[in-house]
Amino acid sequence: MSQLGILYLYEMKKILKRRMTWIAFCGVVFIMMSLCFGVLLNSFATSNAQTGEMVHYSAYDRATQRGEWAEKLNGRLIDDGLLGEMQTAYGAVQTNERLPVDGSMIGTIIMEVSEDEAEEEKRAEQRKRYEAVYNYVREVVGNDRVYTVDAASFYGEIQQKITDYENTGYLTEEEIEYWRGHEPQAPYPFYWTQGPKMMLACIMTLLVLMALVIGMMFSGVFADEHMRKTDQLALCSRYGREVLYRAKLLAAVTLGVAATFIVGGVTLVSFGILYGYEKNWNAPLQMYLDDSPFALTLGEAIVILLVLLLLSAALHSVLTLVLSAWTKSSVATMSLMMVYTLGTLLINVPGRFRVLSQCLSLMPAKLVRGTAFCDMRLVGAAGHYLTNWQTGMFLYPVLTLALVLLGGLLYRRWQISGR
Amino acid sequence: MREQTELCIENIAKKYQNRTVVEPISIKLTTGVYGLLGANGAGKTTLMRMICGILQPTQGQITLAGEPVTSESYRAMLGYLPQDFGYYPDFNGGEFLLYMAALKGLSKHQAREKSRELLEMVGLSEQAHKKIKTYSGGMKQRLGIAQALLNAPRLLVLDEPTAGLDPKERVRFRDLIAEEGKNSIVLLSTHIVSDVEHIADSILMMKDGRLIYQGKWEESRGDLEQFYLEQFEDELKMR
Repeated sequence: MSQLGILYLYEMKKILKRRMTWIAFCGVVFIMMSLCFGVLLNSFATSNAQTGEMVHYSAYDRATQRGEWAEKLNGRLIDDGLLGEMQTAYGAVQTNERLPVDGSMIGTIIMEVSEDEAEEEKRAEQRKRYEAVYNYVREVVGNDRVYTVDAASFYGEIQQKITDYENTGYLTEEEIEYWRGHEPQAPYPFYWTQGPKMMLACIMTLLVLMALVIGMMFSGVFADEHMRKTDQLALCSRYGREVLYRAKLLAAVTLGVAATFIVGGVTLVSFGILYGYEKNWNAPLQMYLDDSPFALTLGEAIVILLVLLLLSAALHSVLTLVLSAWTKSSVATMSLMMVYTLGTLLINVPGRFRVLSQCLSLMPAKLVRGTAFCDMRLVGAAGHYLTNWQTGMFLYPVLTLALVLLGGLLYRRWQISGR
Repeated sequence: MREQTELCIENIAKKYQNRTVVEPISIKLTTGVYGLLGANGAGKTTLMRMICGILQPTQGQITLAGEPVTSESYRAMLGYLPQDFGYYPDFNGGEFLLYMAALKGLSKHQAREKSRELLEMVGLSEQAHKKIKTYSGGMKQRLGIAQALLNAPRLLVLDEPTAGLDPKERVRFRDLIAEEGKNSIVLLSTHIVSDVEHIADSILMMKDGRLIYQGKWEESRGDLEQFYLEQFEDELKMR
């Protein structure tokens, strides 16, 4: 084994022996598990308006029940036929002025029951069958039009949202022209997509947590050497400069990417166990982002975001190392990583400041999220246009490489002077 | 017997903004033991750090056997024991030496052999599998000495190496340095005159960043300790 290989293993060992590494890693696994399986602990109650009897069930039961009903419609095109069936199922309720209050967002569901139990049960069954379609259509067209919308208006509404973004996103003529040729397929099929939706919704949390965890795991890689005064032994050793720097870098990137892969994988598998992907992996992205012109499936979207997540992990690992070498303090490094992560997450630049706004949208905390990776703003490169996620795939490795060079420069200039 | 190695220090100086820590110094050292004497703050550690390539001089050049101080081949010939340094608390003594051996470019086999030999030499064989955080100050110092010798250095720089050692260990350590000095350049910094009186072939004395004495101590000049006390009277009074 080469000297780089031996030092690489030692550097891995040093990082893995830090208590902070394991606390941070186990903490994030626990948080993600809570996010995934918390649904098993949440419970709901419905009351029978007539008898006042309360029926308790878990949020998971509710979701899987919905799934069972909704999956029967999987693959059906959202056309006049499906919209009509949904409206008929819900129309009866509307006529009787007994709109169901879907409390899935607030945690309670109130179902009113007709005096005629048999009739009410029939209506309820009908509603259940079309509940997922109803919710989806309502998200697109709003409460007012859900009972009346036809397929042409439905897809017109989607196209209108895309057109609206051309203005609010300050798209250039070239970009508008580009998207004119990339309009979403219509009509597209309906799918029950709870698993992919949950995964896409979790990606941003995963990125933010992993950026903070990486900050904690690697903040001491250079700083601890300085604090312990072991740097002077390393720096005057034959391989204590370039080779050791490369070994530390490789160890951090390997562990950062591996930790992210494990946490991301565990989250993906958990949602898969709970809700399954087999019937909806190839569902159109529009089932999650109705106003997106991207011709992607939900499965492709998940893979793209996971790849961006891993590239971000490599970027954040190297960034942490550079900060550790620059500040020579693990506390300062962790603080800076927190400021960077939360700063890029929370700061918003209005779309009218186009360049600044788009640059910010390319930062991992903005880009690696289910709702933002397919921004319609494009980046021109060598006569071609790259979308934001395509730019991220190219940009993150370039930034990582630039940080590697910067870190190398800092490490080469590392001096042992007064402490 | 190894071929003669020469350490050339040409016009080396170190300044921090307006404060000069080491005035320009030019010396040539060949095989043998050199005792670097001086009170605290005289510039000994700064000079040693510059010789070890871990502190960039403001001016001047340092070469060992013609290799510049910034080169990998210079570092390959160097062994350094800093005055004050730490360890990896979760490593045991054996692991630490193997890690340092990897940094110094020894193969796995060489590293194992040399580590075993040096642990034996510094009397830490039985403690090799214990975590360093359980070691006493003297044991850590002995481990530090062992790591400095791992690559059979042609230039051995020892900054206050006897600090923390008990009298018996100090005597053993002096013998070890004297042995090393037969084949290598050993630069030994201390403010304990008796340490260098016995083993140093030549004396370098620093005061306020300047080299005030250089060469063999001539008995005609009187007692070395007396001379040292006279030179550093003010500094020693201030302690």
